[in-house]
Amino acid sequence: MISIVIGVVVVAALAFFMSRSGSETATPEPSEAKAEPPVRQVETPKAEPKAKEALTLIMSPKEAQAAASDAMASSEPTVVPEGQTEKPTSATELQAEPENEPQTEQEPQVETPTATKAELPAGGSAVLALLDVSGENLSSPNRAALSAASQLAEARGVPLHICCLGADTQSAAHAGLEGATVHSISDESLADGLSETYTAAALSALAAIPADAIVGAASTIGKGFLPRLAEALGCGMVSEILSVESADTFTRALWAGSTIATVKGEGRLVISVRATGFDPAQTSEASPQSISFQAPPSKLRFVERQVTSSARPDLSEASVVVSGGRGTKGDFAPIEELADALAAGMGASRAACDAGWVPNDLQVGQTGKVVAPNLYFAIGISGAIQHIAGMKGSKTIVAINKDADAPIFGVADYGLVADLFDACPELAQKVASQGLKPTA
Amino acid sequence: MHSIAVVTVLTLSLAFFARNCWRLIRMIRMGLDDFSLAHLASRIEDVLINVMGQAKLLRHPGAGILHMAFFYGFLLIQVGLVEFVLSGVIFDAEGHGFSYAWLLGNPAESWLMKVYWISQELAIYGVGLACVIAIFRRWFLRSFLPRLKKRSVDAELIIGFIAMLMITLAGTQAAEVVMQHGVFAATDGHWTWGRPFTRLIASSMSPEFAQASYSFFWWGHFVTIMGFMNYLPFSKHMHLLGAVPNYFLRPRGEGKVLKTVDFETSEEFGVGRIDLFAASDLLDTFACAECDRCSVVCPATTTGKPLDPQKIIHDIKENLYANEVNLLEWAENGRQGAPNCTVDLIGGADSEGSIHFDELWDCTSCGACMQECPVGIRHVPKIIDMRRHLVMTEGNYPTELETVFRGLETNANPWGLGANTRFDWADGMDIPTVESNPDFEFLYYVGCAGSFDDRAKKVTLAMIKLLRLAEVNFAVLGKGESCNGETARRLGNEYLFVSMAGTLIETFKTYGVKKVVTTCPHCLNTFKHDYPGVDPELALEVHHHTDFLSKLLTDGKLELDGKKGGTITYHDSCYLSRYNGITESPRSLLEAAGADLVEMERNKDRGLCCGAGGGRMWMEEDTGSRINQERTREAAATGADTVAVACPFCMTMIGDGTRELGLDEGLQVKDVAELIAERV
Ligand SMILES: Cc1cc2nc3c(=O)[nH]c(=O)nc-3n(C[C@H](O)[C@H](O)[C@H](O)COP(=O)(O)OP(=O)(O)OC[C@H]3O[C@@H](n4cnc5c(N)ncnc54)[C@H](O)[C@@H]3O)c2cc1C
Ligand code: SF4
Ligand code: SF4
Repeated sequence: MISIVIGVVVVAALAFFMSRSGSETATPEPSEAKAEPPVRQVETPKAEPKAKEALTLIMSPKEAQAAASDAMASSEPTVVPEGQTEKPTSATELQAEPENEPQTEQEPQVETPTATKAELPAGGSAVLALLDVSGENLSSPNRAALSAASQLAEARGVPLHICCLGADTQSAAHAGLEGATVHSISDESLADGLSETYTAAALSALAAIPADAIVGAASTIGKGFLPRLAEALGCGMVSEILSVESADTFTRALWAGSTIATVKGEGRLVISVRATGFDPAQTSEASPQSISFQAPPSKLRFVERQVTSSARPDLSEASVVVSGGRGTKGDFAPIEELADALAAGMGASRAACDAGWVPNDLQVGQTGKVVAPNLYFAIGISGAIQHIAGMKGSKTIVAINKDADAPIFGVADYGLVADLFDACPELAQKVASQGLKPTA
Repeated sequence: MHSIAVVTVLTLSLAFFARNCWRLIRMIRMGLDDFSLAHLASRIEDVLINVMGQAKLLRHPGAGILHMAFFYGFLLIQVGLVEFVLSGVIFDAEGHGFSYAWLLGNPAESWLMKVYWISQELAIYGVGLACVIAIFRRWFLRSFLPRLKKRSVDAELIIGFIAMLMITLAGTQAAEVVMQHGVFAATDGHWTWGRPFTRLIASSMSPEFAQASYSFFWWGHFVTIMGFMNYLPFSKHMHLLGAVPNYFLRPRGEGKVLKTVDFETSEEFGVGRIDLFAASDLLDTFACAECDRCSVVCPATTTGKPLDPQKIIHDIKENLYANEVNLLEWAENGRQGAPNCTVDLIGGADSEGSIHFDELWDCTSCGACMQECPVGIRHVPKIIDMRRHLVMTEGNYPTELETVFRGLETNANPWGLGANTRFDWADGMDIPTVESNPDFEFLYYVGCAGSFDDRAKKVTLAMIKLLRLAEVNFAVLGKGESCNGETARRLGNEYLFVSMAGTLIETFKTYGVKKVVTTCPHCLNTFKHDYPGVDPELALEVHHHTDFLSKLLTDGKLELDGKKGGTITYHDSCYLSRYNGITESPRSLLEAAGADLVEMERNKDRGLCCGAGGGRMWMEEDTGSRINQERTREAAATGADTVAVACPFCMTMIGDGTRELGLDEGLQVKDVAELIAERV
């Protein structure tokens, strides 16, 4: 009887052991060998000294060194643009073969970067303006970037190269500037606007045009790929410059424009240009030279483009915005009427969006859109701080509210204590009848 | 033969158990060591109150007492367990197994033996009864108990295990009594009154049956124990092993004090990978009993958002398991660089062991989870740690926060309203400032809401009125005031927090500020719990206005008109009740103001968050239902005509709630200070 029980127990225990250890059976010995002391550690706080050791290990200088060299090793291949991989590789191979003479060990390390730079020479080489283009005309951010690039080329006394990137680069044909050479990279893959693809295209451009200063517009696409380019080149970046002071000195805004910093860049630089800092360049006809480009495979995939089409101007770009709140009680007709009369964008308070009276993307405020039009109408909106935070930057604020104590009147330049259902139609009619369309 | 079998099984089981424990310890040590024995007395106290005293469990008397029966029953049975195992190994000449009676003497004479037997009787049948109740609760009362709605096979299995243990143990004891005459005789000897149940069962057993079933019961019990012990490390019962070390080793502060970041030496900020957690944070995940106490009180979980505090803890543990092999390899190689984790801690594709971005941003840092957790797990610091990673290392956070961070950086307030308009609320009022009244005793720190938000400004004015009436020697910072950075800190932007705190602390020092009064619980908590981490020398005395006014009232500095107020329900702010234990002052003030106080279902340290904490004030709430509406409904259900609040964010949340639900006609929202100011 007993022996049967024992048999069952042993088999069960073994089965349990096997099933739970599964993946670990490869190394049962060391863990069992160490099994005893740690059990004590759970029960008494003596775990501490051991764990401390572990901490010192984390921070040991050796490891820091190793991490640093790891980082260097991993950044090296990216430093090298396409087509130049051979040299550095052979350099490292060479380095591996000779006996451990300390000198030879050091030299190739110095050489590796110079070898890379040899292909894209430093000092005195060109300024390259990279423009992300589409359509027939050059956008004003691109023109501002061209101005900045040509100022920089002049300050450095070096030639200016312009390269238009995009799926549709027809605008390159009139991106000419005096003394500049125009290139273009046209590839379908650029239509998706993926930063990775643009970075690869920029590297191809650089392979063909040795340049030491790369200038681009701080556009949506520019903001995406220029920092990546700087990272790939392992060089510095000056973002959103407002002016070119000298060959290596620029100004840029800090703290939302309350401070202007003068920054100096060393060595090779990637520079993005804030459009408001420069007058758009007047360009001439050009005959662009095309640079070949093969889009690399990417982990990013373009999924879909969603464009909201609305007859009214986009809320965040409109120069006039008419917003309605809970005071409309769900009837936005008066708000729409006024907005249409003024060719204005339409906004709303969170209360109106939450109630489902208007779509959520019309919400203006702290957690909605932050707008700063020339003229903002807050109608039937009480002026809660969460709303004010989203429209306080408007040049002129007009409030219509039937409650004279509503806080909105505290921030409004013009206030009208009235029922919005009377005031809006009347206002809309007056605007329409007198042709009072505000200019953009 | 019997002894050898017992010893073999015992050794195998213990070895396997030790091996699994060692595995867990190694995993815990993948984190950054932060174990310390400083404040030993408070650590011991923590264990005594929460483990021996079962303090958290007793917050719910029903389940609490049940658990206490299991807990103490188990402790007692451990004493019996030694006798039990030895009884299978050592035998006397007649073949009877070991008994404590050999050492303590015949139970007819030995009082110690009597006490021992009574204790075992109590334990076995007490735990047995607890099992019956637990089974009843889980099978029949499930639908009435929110916490048990989610069925847990693990829990059922464990109850089964325990029931099995008790049945076999009771059987063993009864059979033993029948078999072993002499000192153990069931019918003979006056000691048997101490073992009424054993005696009852024994009296129904024939000697033959006892003989035949004894080893069946004995082995059944033995095998179940060994099995149970080895099941522990893989189950929610792990809390049996984890709770005590967790209470003992966890950093002081109960999770209410966040870690500081060393910006000089750290290369990665926050926790984006499992090994960057503190070891104490990994340890506490192993203490989790998967009891769901945290989930049922979490405002995010209960309003249908992705966040579930228990899941956060579970996922951290699962992530550790999932990356175990690579982590161990990395640790063996001297922790070079970063371990290669195959399952991402944040945003990984499969949900087990990986925490979704949205979960981390749903947390209001209300602390309800930590308040309820019986094993002392600290959820909020972990969530903030991961937010820190998202904000400071990845720069990946909800878009709305861009505006907040910029506002804080440029204008020292989260709305980004012009810093130069900060003191406009005082226009034409001749408010004493630190410059016009440099000998002030109390600094009234008005805060961002109190300075910019029109609704909160009314509270500021009420407060000023009261301070003046009570002739308090106070001053405000005026234009020189800046945000203390609370929001930035809870949102994981520790860098911004430290710089903002630095600025304000500088201002405090310039004007020799020693005592601060504030109308905002978030400011209060930051000065009290966060600032010592930034500047340990800054010894501020901080008062929330409800405490302060209540003191003025008892000191007779303020007199109320004694008129009757309406029916008022008070909404507890998390940062007052749970974080700072302030629940009575606001209530006593309201009573003094003649209010009929009615309580919401969840109140004091069990109060439901308004939904604004943890930086949620600055984020859209577009999943699940709205927390503020849930709370507003609860307030309305009391039938009160006024909800009293003591925090500007609660004011916005509950105020918006009444308007969103169309309840604003019958339900006003007012700050306690306003209600007092109406009565002076
Ligand atoms: C986390 C959070 C984020 C938030 N984010 C935002 C945000 O991004 N944007 C935002 O707007 N809000 C936001 N809010 C909400 C904000 O706090 C207010 O609740 C909201 O702005 C109020 O909207 P309202 O002014 O339309 O409604 P109410 O405050 O109810 O005001 C309605 C106004 O209409 C007036 N009125 C009524 N009838 C008429 C009439 N016939 N004619 C003229 N006037 C009339 C009333 O006098 C009143 O002043 C947020 C709140 C929270 C908690
Ligand atoms: S702090 Fe509050 S919101 Fe955050 S997880 Fe805990 S209970 Fe949920
Ligand atoms: S974290 Fe605490 S409260 Fe939540 S399930 Fe685990 S033990 Fe229970």
